[in-house]
Amino acid sequence: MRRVHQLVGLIVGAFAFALIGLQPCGAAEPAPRDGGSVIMGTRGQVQGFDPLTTRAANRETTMAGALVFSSFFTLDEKGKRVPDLATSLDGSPDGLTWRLKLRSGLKFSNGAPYTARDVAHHFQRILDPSRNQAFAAALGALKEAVAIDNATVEFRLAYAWAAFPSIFSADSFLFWVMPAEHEDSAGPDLNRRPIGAGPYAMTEWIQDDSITFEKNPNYWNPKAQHLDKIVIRFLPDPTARFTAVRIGDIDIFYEPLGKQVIEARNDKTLKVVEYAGTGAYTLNINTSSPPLDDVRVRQALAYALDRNVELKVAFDGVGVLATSFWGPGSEWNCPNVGYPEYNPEKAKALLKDYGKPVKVVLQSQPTPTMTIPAQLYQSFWQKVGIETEIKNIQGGPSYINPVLRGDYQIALWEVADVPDPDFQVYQAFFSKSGGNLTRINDPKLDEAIETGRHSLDINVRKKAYCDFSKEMAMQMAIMLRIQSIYFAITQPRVHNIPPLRRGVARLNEVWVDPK
Amino acid sequence: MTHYFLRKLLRLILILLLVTAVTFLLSNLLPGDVVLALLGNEATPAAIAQVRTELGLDQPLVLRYLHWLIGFIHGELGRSYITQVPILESIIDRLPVTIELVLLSQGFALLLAVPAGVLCAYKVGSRLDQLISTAALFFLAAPVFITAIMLMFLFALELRWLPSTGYVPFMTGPLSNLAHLALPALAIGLSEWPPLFSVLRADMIKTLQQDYIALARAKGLGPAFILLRHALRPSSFTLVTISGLQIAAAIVGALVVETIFGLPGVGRMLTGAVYNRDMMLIQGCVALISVGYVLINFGVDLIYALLDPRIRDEYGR
Repeated sequence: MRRVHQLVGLIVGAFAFALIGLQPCGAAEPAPRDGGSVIMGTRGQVQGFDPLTTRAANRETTMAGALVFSSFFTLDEKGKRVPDLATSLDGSPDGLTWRLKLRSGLKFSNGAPYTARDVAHHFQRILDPSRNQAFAAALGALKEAVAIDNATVEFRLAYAWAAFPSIFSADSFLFWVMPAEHEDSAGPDLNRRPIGAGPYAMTEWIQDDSITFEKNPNYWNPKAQHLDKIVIRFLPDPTARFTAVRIGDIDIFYEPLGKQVIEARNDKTLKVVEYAGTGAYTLNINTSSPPLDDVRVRQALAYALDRNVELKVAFDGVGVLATSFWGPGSEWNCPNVGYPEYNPEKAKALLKDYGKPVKVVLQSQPTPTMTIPAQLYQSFWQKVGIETEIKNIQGGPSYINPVLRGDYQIALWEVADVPDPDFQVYQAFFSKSGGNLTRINDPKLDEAIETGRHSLDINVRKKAYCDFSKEMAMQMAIMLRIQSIYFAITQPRVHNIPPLRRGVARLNEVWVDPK
Repeated sequence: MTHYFLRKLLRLILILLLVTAVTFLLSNLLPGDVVLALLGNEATPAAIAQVRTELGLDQPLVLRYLHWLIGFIHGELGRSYITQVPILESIIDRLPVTIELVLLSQGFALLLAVPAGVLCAYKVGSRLDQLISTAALFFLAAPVFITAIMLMFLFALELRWLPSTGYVPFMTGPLSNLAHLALPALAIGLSEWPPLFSVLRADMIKTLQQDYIALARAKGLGPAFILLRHALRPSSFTLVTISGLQIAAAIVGALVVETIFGLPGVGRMLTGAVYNRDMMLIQGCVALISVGYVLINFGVDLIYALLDPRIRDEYGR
């Protein structure tokens, strides 16, 4: 009978998803050991290593890139910036010029010296309008990158941009610097022939199967290279990934389903790693057309939801209810923003004040992770007199496109987990950004967003984002569900998976017991 | 014979034109947008417009199809929108995996269908016949992904006899290659053997009622000899025809099975291309699969003509 349950669990697990909290990782780890290899099974494929080709990077791509290129700075467990390829970043008092000092003696994996010229060339290539302008928004105010000497790069901004320093510690594909000559000469093959200065070098890429990395002999810090070999295997089916980690075909199962996390927690032959990031699961509201252009209706929707029930039913009771994008673990967290608590009577009063029948369309996906919450919302809103039609759309571009076009009313969404609030709010909520998903146009929000972007004073910025959260809780252009949370299931022999910031596992820090 | 060949060739060209045109149209009607798949959900309208122009997606559909068709005729399928890898190169890399999987699955299907069909025809109406027919019905009804997950659960997780995922090239390790392909091939084979079994069983039952079989029995020949020597061959024509057609079903099965078992074949690449709205890759894969499929059937037609003089005569007149 147990076997039958397991089998049913496996099949159901292929479709089900619920988030569950787990024991913290990294406790009482033994001393690091060098050698061996790990295989990580992932849902998505590595897309490539040239930002102008890939244009956007999934988490698998980011993890692969982190191995090949590393970052200028990394973050320690407390989120403090630690030098990696660069040793310092100093800004001018007006915040318009920043000088990045590279570590001396850096080399690419092919043995070529890693110089400021390569870094400047890389950024100029990305900014070149004749090649691509897709990154203009992502790079914000960056105007120019210039090599001052062999080890110093100067970044010149069009206007002071407070979030600028934080991009240098982000695992972002935009900063994957390759030798200037290679970037110029490799043509379309650049995407699949990465040469970086990170701890590992790509040695094999079997498209649709796996990508293999081995130690970069020229990496500046051999102490950060524990494993001889790292393999990222593409296994899109979560059931297959779970089976593979249980029988030892793979060592790390990245992005398990909730049910699998529960099962793994009860399995002593497996370990579970979790990380709660900034960002949140949300319900985006298009505020541009009736009845959702009326703030009373939006507030009524929020007051009608019992989020604790959703947490219990859709997330198995584990997780933290979000009241802003930045949870309790974030330095940007702002307590008591006045996020609406469950109050159906208040919801009814707001709707009565509005005075017209309310019917909304909720965009969801035909997966249990979305349909269960969607049905919950439908029933909660029904109780206060709001008629809800659930519109299921397959995930991917067909789901995203209507939201980008503004052709939706309410959509299940997620605010990304990124290092600085500016990246989360400027593009998506600033009325003039061009990417304003909710079509909100509120002077108070705009003011807070602009202050957060331009001020160089951390306290002013924190207050701005606190004001943003409070005003958002009033305007209710976006309803918050739970904070972002990431999981991995591993074999017991795998140690020291660092915090999954933005869902990314820095595999070079991992070490393993022998098989 | 020349007349027959030319007529078949003309039909082949028309079918290929039709298939590629319909595929091109359908892949462009898919909801979603390759540009959004490339740029992500934070892309600005300006960036979207620029990339659309770069990829030629702002041109009329007919023009894009003609460009593609001319390239196809010259063996140039373009590059994947997503990876920038030449499409022909990608397909050639993955084709051996899919061909091996399809052949093995066909082998499994025939290994199951032929003995079962012969046995059930011989023991028609018996409990064994009923049992095997019920099993065939079960596997016919079971979706291939359920069969795949059940096999994975049993042979990989519980018994630990075979690996659950991955692929090893044949030249690297023949045994490991077969071990990695065993479960995927069996999953497809289990879904494919019921139709083969059904047609063979039905044809065998008819054949066993023929006078020459009664004569063979009267001569005292053994049942095994009668079944295999006198009954199986004349009962196999439909089976052979269906086996050829089943290749298309096996390719469809490969789309699912390669994804579940993590095999780097054409099916998995095509599935990924559909999710990514990589139109050029979809078009290239479907066109080459269609060409392969139509050519196989073209070959079968020619073989029929060679084997059966009536067909040659009909077209030779």
